[in-house]
Amino acid sequence: MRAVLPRLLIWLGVFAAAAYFGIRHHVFAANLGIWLAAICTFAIYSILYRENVVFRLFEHIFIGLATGYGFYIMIIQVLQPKWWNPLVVEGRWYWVFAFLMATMFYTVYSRRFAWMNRLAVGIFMGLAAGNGIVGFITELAPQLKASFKPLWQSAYPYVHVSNVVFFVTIITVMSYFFFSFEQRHPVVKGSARLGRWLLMVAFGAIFGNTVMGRMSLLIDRLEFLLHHWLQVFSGM
Amino acid sequence: MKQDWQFWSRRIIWAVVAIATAVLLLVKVQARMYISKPALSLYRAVEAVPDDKIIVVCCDWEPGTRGENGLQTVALIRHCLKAGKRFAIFGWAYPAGPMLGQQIAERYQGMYGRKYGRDWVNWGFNTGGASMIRGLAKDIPGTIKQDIFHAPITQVPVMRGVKSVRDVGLILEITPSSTLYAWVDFVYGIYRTPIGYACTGVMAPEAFPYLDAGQIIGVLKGLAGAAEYEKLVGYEGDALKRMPAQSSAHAVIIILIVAGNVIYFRARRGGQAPGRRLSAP
Amino acid sequence: MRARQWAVIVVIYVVGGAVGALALWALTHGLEPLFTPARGTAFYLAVAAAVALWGFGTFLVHRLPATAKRRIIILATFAAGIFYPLEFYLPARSGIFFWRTSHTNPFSPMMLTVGNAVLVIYGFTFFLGAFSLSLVHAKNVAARRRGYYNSIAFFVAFIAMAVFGLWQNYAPADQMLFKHFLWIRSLTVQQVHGYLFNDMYVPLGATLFSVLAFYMATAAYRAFRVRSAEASFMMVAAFLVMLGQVPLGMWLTHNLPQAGWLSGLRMENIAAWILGVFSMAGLRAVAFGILVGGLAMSLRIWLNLERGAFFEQEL
Repeated sequence: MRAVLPRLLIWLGVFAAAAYFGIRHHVFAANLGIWLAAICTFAIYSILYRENVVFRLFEHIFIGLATGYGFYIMIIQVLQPKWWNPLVVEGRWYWVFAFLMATMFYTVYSRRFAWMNRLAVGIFMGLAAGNGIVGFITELAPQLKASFKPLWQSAYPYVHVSNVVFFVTIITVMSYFFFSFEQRHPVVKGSARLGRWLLMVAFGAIFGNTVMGRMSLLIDRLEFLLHHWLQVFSGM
Repeated sequence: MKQDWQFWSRRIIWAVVAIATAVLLLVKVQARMYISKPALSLYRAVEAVPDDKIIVVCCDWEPGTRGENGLQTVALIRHCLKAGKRFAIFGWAYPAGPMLGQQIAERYQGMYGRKYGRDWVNWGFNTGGASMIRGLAKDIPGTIKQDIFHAPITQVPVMRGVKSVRDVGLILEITPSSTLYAWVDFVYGIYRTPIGYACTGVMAPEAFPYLDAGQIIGVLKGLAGAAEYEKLVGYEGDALKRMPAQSSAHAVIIILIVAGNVIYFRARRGGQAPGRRLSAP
Repeated sequence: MRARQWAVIVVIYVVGGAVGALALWALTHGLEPLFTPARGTAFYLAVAAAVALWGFGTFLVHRLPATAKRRIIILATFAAGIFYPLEFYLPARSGIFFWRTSHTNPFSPMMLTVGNAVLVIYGFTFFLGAFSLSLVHAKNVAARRRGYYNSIAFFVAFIAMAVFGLWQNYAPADQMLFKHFLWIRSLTVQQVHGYLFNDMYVPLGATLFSVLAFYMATAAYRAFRVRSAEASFMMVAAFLVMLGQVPLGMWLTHNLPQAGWLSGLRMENIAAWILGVFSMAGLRAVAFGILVGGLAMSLRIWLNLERGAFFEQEL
C-alpha cells in the first residue's frame, strides 16, 4: 500500500482536475450522486485492465453495503412487523419460541452444542422436503398432460410438424438420460444419440439467450455513463 | 511478447465490444421490433384482470439485473398504472427488490394520476421461501401485516377485499433466479391463479415448458421482452432505445465466434498444433 | 438389516408418530387456551416460563447420548416433512376428521402459523450470515493480513448502510444530519441513505454483473470451437435465437410476408419456433429428470436415507 500510495495520489489529483474542468465546461454532470455512481462504475471496470487495489476496495464496499442493506431490511420489514409487534405489542408471548428456535442455528460455532444446529437444520430440511413432495405432483402433472400433443389430428401442417418434432425431441432426450442400465439395444442407442443432438438445440438457445442477457447489463451501464454522466451526449 | 499479445488481445476485444455497443447508444436508429406471442399473452392477461382483484408485482430482482428486470418492471408497472389496475409490490428473494419497485412506481404514478395506498401498495420484503408463499396463499393480511410504511395492511384502501390468493387476479414474477417454482407449484398448482413471468435472457428458455403447459400465462424474455412490452403499452422507453445497441452486441459476438473458429481451423490446416495458436492470431 | 432392527425402527416411527399426533391434538385442543395474548406481568411470566421450559428441554436433550440425539433429529425431520404432504393430500373436508366439528383438514389452519414462523426464523438466520462475514473480516483486520484495509472498508460500508437505513426509517422525513458544513448547505439522513443505496449500492451491483459481458466476448472468440457436428448444430441454433430476438435479425427477413407459410422463414418466427418447440421439448425432458431427482432427494432427506459429511457428523 505504501509503495502504491504516491502513484495513487498523483492519479487522484489528475482525475480531480479533469473532473473539475469537465464539470465547469458541461462535459460531465454536476451532480454528486451521478459522480458517485460513475466512480463506482469505473472502479469495478478497472478489473478489465488488470487486478488492482481500487477494484478490491470497491468490491468490499459493495459487499458491506449489500450486507448492511439486508441487515436493516430484515429488521424493519421482517422482524419488527412479523415478530416484535406480535410478541411485544400484541402480547403473543409464544412468538418467543421462534426466537429460541432461531438461536439454535447459531450453535454451529460450538462443537459441543452443534446438535442443536443439526436439529434446527433438520426441521427446515424436513419442511423443504415436504414442499418438494407436494411440488413434484403440482408441477409434473400439467407438464405431463401438455406433453401429449396430437400428431395427426391438427388441420394445419405447421402444427402437425411442430408436434412431431416435439414428440421426437422429448422421447429421444429422455432416452439419453437413462443411465440406470447400459444402453445396448441399437434402437435405444440410436435414440439416445439423436436425443443428444437435439439437446444441443436447447443448449444453443440457452447460450443465445445468455449472450442477450449479459449484453443487456453492459448496455445499461454504458447508457448511464453516456447519457447521465457525460453531459455532452445527454441529448442523444 | 506472446504474453503481451495475449494480454492486449483480450483488452482489444473488450474495447471493440464496448465501442460497438456505445456507438449505437449514441446514434439514433429506428428499431424494428415484432411482438412475440408470450409477451402479447402477458399483456392481455394484465388487461383481463377484473377490478375486484389485485395484481401482485413480485420484484424478486436486485441491482445486478437492472438492465433487464428493471426495464421489465417499469413496463409492467406503467401498464398497471395506465390501465388503472390495483397492484401490490412484493419481494421474497432479494431484500432490494421491493425498494427498487417502489422507486419505479413512485416515479410514474403521477403521470397516470395514481396514488400510493389508493391505487397500489408495497408489501415489502418477506423471506421464508416456499413455506411463506404457502402461508401467504391462505391468508395475505395475516402474512404481510404491514406495508413498507408500517401502516396495517388491512387499513390500506387498495387492499379492500383482499384476503387470500383467490382475490389475486395475476401474479407477475420479475426475477433473474429460479423463484418461479414456488408460484407454479404452490399457487398455480393449487389455486390456479394466473402467473406471468418476466425473466432475464438466461432463464428464458426454461420458462417455455411452463408456458406450454399453461402454468404461466406469458413471458417477457430479458431486454427484448421489455422492449416488446413497451411497444404494447404504447411508449418508447429505454428498452426500445437500447435494442439497436443489443443488435450490435449480438453481431459482435457472432463475428467473434466465427472469426475465432476460422482462425482456429486455418491454424489446424496449416499444420500447427491447436494448443499453440488457439488464443492468438 | 435384520428383522429385529427393522422392528425397532418401525416401532420408533409409530411411537414417534403417535406422540406427535398427541402433541398436535394437545396443541389444537387441550393447550389452546394457553396460547392467548397476555399483558403486563402475565406476559413477562409467560415469556420467562417459555424460555425456562425451552432451556430445560434443551438441557435434558443435551444430556442424552449421541444416538438418542440422532434419533430425535430424525424424528423431528420426519415430523416436519410430513406436515405439508398431509395438508395437501388429505381432503379439505372429510369425515375422517371425526374429532373436528367442522370435519375440515386440521393442518390447513396451521399453514399461516408455520409460514410466519419460517419467515421470522429465516429473518433471524440472515444475521448468522452477516455475523460469519464480519468474523472473517474482523480476523483479517486483527491479524493485519494483506489487504486488511479492504476489510475495514467492508465494515465502514456495512455500518454506514445499516445505521442510515435504520435511521431514515425511524426518523422524520427531513431529519437533518448537519447544516452548513464546508461547501455543503445541508444534508439530511434521507439524502445520505439515497447516496448509499441509489448512487453506490445499485451502480456497484449493476457494474459487477455487467463485467460478465466482457468475459463472454473473450470466451466467444477463444473457447467456442465448433469441433464436432453437434457443436455446429448448437452454434446454428444459438445464432438463430440471438438474431431472431433483436432488430438486426428482424430486419434481415423483414421483406418476407407476415402471414402464410413464408412467414415461417422470418427470423423472429424461426427463433420463436426454436424456443417454443425444439428447445422447450429438450428442456421439458430435462425438467422431468430434475423433478424425479428432486422427489428422490426429498424422500431421502425426509426418511433419513441421505448420507454425507453433514448427515453423518459427530453429535
